[in-house]
Amino acid sequence: MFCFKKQRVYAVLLVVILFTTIFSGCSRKDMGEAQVMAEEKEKLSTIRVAKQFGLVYAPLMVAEKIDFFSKYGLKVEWLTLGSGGTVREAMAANELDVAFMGIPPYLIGWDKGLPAKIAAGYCVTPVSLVAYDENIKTIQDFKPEHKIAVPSPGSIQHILLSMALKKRVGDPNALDDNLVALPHPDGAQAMLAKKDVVAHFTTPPYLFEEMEQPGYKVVLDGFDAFGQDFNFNVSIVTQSYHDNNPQGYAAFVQGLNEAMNWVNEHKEETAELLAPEFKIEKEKLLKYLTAEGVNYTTAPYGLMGFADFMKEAGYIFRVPERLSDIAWENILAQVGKREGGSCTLEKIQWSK
Amino acid sequence: MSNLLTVSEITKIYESGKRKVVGVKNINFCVNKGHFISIIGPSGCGKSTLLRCIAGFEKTNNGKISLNGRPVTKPGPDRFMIFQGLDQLFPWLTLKENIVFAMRVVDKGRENFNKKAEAYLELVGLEGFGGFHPYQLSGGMKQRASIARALSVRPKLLLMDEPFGSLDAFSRRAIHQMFLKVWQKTGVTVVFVTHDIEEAIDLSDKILVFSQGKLKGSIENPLSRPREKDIPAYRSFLLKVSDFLDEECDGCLRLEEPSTVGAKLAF
Amino acid sequence: MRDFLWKIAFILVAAIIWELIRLAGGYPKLLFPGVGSIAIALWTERLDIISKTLFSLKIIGMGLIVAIVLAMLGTFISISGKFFAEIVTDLMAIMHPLPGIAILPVAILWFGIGIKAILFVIVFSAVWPLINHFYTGFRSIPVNQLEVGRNLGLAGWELAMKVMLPASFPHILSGLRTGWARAWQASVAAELVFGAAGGQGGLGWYLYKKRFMMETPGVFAGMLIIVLIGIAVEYLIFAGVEKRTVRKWKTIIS
Ligand SMILES: Nc1ncnc2c1ncn2[C@@H]1O[C@H](COP(=O)(O)OP(=O)(O)O)[C@@H](O)[C@H]1O
Ligand SMILES: [Mg+2]
Repeated sequence: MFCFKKQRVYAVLLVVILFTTIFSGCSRKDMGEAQVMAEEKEKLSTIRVAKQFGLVYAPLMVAEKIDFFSKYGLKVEWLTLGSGGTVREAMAANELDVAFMGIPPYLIGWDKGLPAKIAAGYCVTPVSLVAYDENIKTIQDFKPEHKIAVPSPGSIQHILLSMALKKRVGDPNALDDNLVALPHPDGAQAMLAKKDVVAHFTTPPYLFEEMEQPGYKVVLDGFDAFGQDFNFNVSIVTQSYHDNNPQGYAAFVQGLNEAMNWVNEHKEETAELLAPEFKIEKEKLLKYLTAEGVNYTTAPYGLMGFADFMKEAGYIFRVPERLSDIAWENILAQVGKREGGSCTLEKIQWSK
Repeated sequence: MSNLLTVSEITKIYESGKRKVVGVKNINFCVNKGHFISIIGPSGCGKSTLLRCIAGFEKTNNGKISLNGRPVTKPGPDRFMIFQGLDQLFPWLTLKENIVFAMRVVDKGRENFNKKAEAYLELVGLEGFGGFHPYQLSGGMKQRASIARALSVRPKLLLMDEPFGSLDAFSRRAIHQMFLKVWQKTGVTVVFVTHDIEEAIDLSDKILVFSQGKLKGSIENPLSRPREKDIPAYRSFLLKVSDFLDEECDGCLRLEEPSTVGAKLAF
Repeated sequence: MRDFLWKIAFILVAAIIWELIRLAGGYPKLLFPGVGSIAIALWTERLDIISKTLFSLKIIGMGLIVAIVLAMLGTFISISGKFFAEIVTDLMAIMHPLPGIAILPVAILWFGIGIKAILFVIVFSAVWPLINHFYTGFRSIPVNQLEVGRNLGLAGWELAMKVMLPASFPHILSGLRTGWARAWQASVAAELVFGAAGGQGGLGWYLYKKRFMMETPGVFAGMLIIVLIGIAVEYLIFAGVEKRTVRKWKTIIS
């Protein structure tokens, strides 16, 4: 009996070792130099980008449809991944070069050593907490039984709510027990059905859809919570891609700029192009694209403003000391560094 | 002697789908208190059916069964059945617990069942085995324990459906002797089903011969107890019973008995 | 118990090998957290982990009790008539292969987001294997034992509790094993897919949060707890019950 057990343990250990050798064999570390070189060469012209779906991703969808990258010699591999969590994990595993995410989720990854930095700001859009209960007028009115939908823990919506709570109630976690993690479409569905949740922290087009309903109102505006504008998303590029493929990197940033600009200049064409993708009427899409507060821009806004609060509230353990800790040189160059006190562009990287 | 069991005009017909199978038909007989009756007959002649009707496991189509003048309608501990199968003890209980379980269910009292259980085990020659689980026993010991459990609830009538049919000749001999002693000691009335003529002759006062669902005849056993096999009277009686069987069961083979027919699962 | 200690020893050895591989490969903490950082996560988060574990156990306990009651009812119904038996076996054939987590969307539609939906998934995951085992168990009770019970005058509920239940216990036990495993998996999976409502969540929700906070050591700590509870329940509860019952009675089924 005793011996048999021992044998079994050895067998299992052997399997574990075998697995880990295979595992490490697959990792790039053990690859031959030549193979790495060949792969790098090929990579020069390709970039792996996580695709996302939603109104705010209109420039990205346009960039894919019209293809703003190939003229710079860049081929984009569009990947569709599940949640924001998966995107970061894929980057950490070097399965992905570019991703789009909110500043707080990026900071959480950065804090944990995710080797990637911001290559571009990505739009400024309203982010608001909507409620339909007439007794809820401010964030102080939530009772323990009221459920509030946010996309996920650590999302920009979650952090904005915490920031506002800190300012107004003094406790950033005051409503943590009221939060429900629901992806935007599910949250919107629950809101419109007035089922399960009484409030939803969301973005266009869900924000617009909810606000069209009678009695639905904004109880917290994201810009108010932050104090000024911030990028809804940022585009982040991994260290290895940035370092090994400077041309690819430059091409991607430039292609993204062009796509962004094209949307601003051609909103009607954009609506026509994307209406079938979103499965809504062209007119409605155009209305959303041109709604007040939506700004399709790659300029950086509010990059540094979340970190101090997030550290204080325990979401991260360190804060970037300077912008260069979290952003690549093109961003740094845009923001600049005014001698003798910050300039406007530097100031808008912080919260008020 | 007084009349304990009366079976009159009993008919049992099994209906499986559209087919009707006769179990037993128009059976009449009586058993006196303290008597030992054997029922013999070829396989499928309705021996088990009759026993199950008396036990109350089967509803009869016609006729009346009464015990001490009271009609039998459902199973009860006054008529206790012992089966051929070696799985009738509860495997999750020890021998003693099996007996205590039965006594407790029937008497519902808080008497000293443990002591009584030990006495019954001793009665069947299983003293010292009270703490054993059924899997630790031989076939013969299991049947002895089943008998002890049956006797522990003090039934008026023991219904035994080939209880020793699964045992080897050796343990069967031993168990016969034990059982006869117990029968004499307790004075319990026994209806004993077997397909073994010698077993019937060795044990019983009277032999009922069944064939094709009908009672063909009843033969009084003239032999005195204790019964010895190597005397001419024994041999001539054996011959008589065999001849009667051959005659009555003309054409139908005397087969080895299968174990009890699967009873319907119901509660 | 020795088996249990062996499992613990095995985990220790695995931890050492894990650490050796990590150090040899120089993997980042994000992908391959060290045993030390997992231990630190376990310690610093102990209160949260304990409350999440208790919540998981509570909700699984509730789900299992409901599932057992339903399975018992289903079993009684199905053995009380051929017609019902066919309905239940057909239902079982349809539902058994369906992973509990697959009905989460339906559960949310019916019960909303919250404990009820997760409970529904747990009950659904556990009830079919339970019915399957209970039904098989009741069907395989030796007829002689049932008739001894009836002969003693037992019927209905009393017969079920005093004879049918212990007689089918080997099957019931293996049903409970499967049911527990399915319920445990379902609760973790459901919370992992859809999170939890508000502050109420179990270990699946813990994993979910740790994942979104990219706290890989925390994710491993949560997984470790899930594994340890699985082992503990198997060795401290099921193996113990088995030793005291079916192994003692020699009625164990393989
Ligand atoms: N539950 C049952 N359903 C249908 N037929 C049965 C059932 N039990 C017994 N029979 C039939 O009734 C007849 C008598 O059977 P049984 O009493 O078991 O005979 P014996 O015990 O003498 O061998 C046989 O033909 C048998 O097939
Ligand atoms: Mg028979």
